[in-house]
Amino acid sequence: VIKTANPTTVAHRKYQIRFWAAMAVYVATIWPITDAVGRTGGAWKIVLALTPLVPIAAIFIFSIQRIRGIDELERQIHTEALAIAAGVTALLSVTYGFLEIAKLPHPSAWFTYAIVMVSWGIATPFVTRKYKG
Amino acid sequence: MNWLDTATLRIFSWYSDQTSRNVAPAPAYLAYRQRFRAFALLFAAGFILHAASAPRSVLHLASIALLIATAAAWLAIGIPYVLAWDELQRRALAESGAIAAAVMLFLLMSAALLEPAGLPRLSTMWWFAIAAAAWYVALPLVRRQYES
Repeated sequence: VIKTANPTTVAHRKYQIRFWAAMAVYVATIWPITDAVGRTGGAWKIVLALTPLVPIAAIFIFSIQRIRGIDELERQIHTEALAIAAGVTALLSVTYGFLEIAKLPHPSAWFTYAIVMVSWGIATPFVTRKYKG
Repeated sequence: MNWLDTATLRIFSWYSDQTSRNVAPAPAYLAYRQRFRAFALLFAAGFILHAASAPRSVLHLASIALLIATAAAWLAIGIPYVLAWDELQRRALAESGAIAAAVMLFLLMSAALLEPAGLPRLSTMWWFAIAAAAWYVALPLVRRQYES
C-alpha cells in the first residue's frame, strides 16, 4: 500500500519547522543586535538595525511557499483574512492619524505591526467559519 | 462642471476601467460613483476647514469630526458596493488586499527596526497611505492576471 501524505498537511508541517527555526534565530539575535545598535554609529547602525529582517524575510518566503502548497480553500481563507487585516489596519491608522492632529503621540511602528497581525489572527477563524460552516 | 470635477471623474473612470473591465455597470456601481463625488467634496471641505481653523478651536474639532464621519459614511456605502461585486472582482480585491498587507508588514517591520537607529516615529497617516497605495496599485495588476 502506497501512503500519500496530504499536500496541505505537508505544507503546514514544513512551514511550522521552518517558522520556528527562523523565529529562534530572530529571538537569539534581536537583543544583542539592539544592544549593539545603541553602541554603534554611522552606516553600521542602520545595517545592524536591519539585520533581524533576515529571519523575518525568511519567514515571509516560507509563508509564500506554504500558501502555494496548501489547497485552494485554505489559500482563499488566508487571502481574505489578510485583506481584512489590511482594511482594519488602514481604517484604524487613519482614525488615529486624525487623533494625532489633536496632539496624540506618534506610536511606534511595532504598534501598527501588531494591529495587522492581531486583526489577521482575529479575521482567520471568522473567514474559516464562513467557508466551512 | 469645473476642472477639479472633470479631473476627479476622469481619474475615477480610468481607475474603474482598470478594475472592472468587461463588467457591465451594476446599479450598486452607479450609486457608488454618484456618491463618490459627494464624499470627495466633503473630504475636501473637511481638510480645508482643518487647515484654516486654529488648533484646538471648535472649528478644528468639527473638521476632525467631519473627516471621521465622512470616512465612516464612505465605508457604509462602500461595503454594499463591494458585496455587489461578482466573484472574480471580489477575489481580485481580496488578493490585492493581501498584497497590501504583506507590503505593509514588511515596511512596518523595517521602520520598527530602524527606530532604535534614529528613524523618527512616523504618523499613522503614512501607514494608511502606504496600505491604500499598495492596494490601489495591486488591484488592476491582479485583475489583469485573471483576465489575461
